[in-house]
Amino acid sequence: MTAMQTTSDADLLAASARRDSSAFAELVARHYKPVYRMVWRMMNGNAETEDVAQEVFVKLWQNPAQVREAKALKGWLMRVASNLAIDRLRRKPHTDLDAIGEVVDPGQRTGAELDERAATRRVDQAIAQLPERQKLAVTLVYFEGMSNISAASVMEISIDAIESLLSRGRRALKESLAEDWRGLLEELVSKTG
Amino acid sequence: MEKFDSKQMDEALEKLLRRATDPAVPAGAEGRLMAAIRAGQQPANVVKFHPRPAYQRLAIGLPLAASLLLGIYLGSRGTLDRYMPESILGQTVAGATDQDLSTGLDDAESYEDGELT
Repeated sequence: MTAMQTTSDADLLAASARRDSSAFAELVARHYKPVYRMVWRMMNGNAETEDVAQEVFVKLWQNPAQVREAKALKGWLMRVASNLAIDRLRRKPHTDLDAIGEVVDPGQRTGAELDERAATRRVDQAIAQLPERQKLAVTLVYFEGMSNISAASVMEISIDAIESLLSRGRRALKESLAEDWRGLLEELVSKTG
Repeated sequence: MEKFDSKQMDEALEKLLRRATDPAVPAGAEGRLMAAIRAGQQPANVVKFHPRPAYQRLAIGLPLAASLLLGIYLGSRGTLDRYMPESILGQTVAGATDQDLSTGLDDAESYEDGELT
């Protein structure tokens, strides 16, 4: 483990403000994946995901002092990433998950694997169909493991508002995934009782 | 759906959401980002302009200004005309005779007399 890996985000941000690119590289190593994942989800797997994730970190590099407290870094990154992703989607027509062809070699996959892939695809599509703000709330809470309070802070809305978005998002997902979801419920109930 | 409580429903949904794609970061993405950052950090290939000190500017500017003033003074007095070629000096309006001047008045008189050529 290098010394840089044990350095706190606060110290890395301060070093980045002094134009230390090695310190910034460590920040990128720590935070790139969740940012990429969130942008991918918001842009429905669009090919420009990497560009947007890159732009988020370039913004941070240009002015690391924008993040007043290191504790807020993840939230800041998520907020900038979601705003950029939404802006990009609104500006340009995009390909979504429906349009991306799936490359499957049936000869090399079992029936169970194919079922699993089909289920994954259905879940991805159901999430992709959610309205922007519901999708962002669901992504932050379910996929990034953020608390409702943190997610509300990222979205700059109240706790009640995020709970409402999550509730509507869950309802919409249950409706669009009714078939898969009922099967899972039956499984859960049979296991528990 | 009444036989399921909301907790069971939410558990099932969470389980279902775990089936969603966990997108992998493309190979080399972080490297490309850092390369872009470092490329932006390079100093621009432009030579900074340093103005000359005031004494150097005066040393060049004063003789040039004096030379210009002397040229204007000598030119206006005609002191150096004898060194100038004829083609440059030419004939001035003041030195021209009346016959050289083409006022158009003669033509007007001829026209009045019916002479149209």
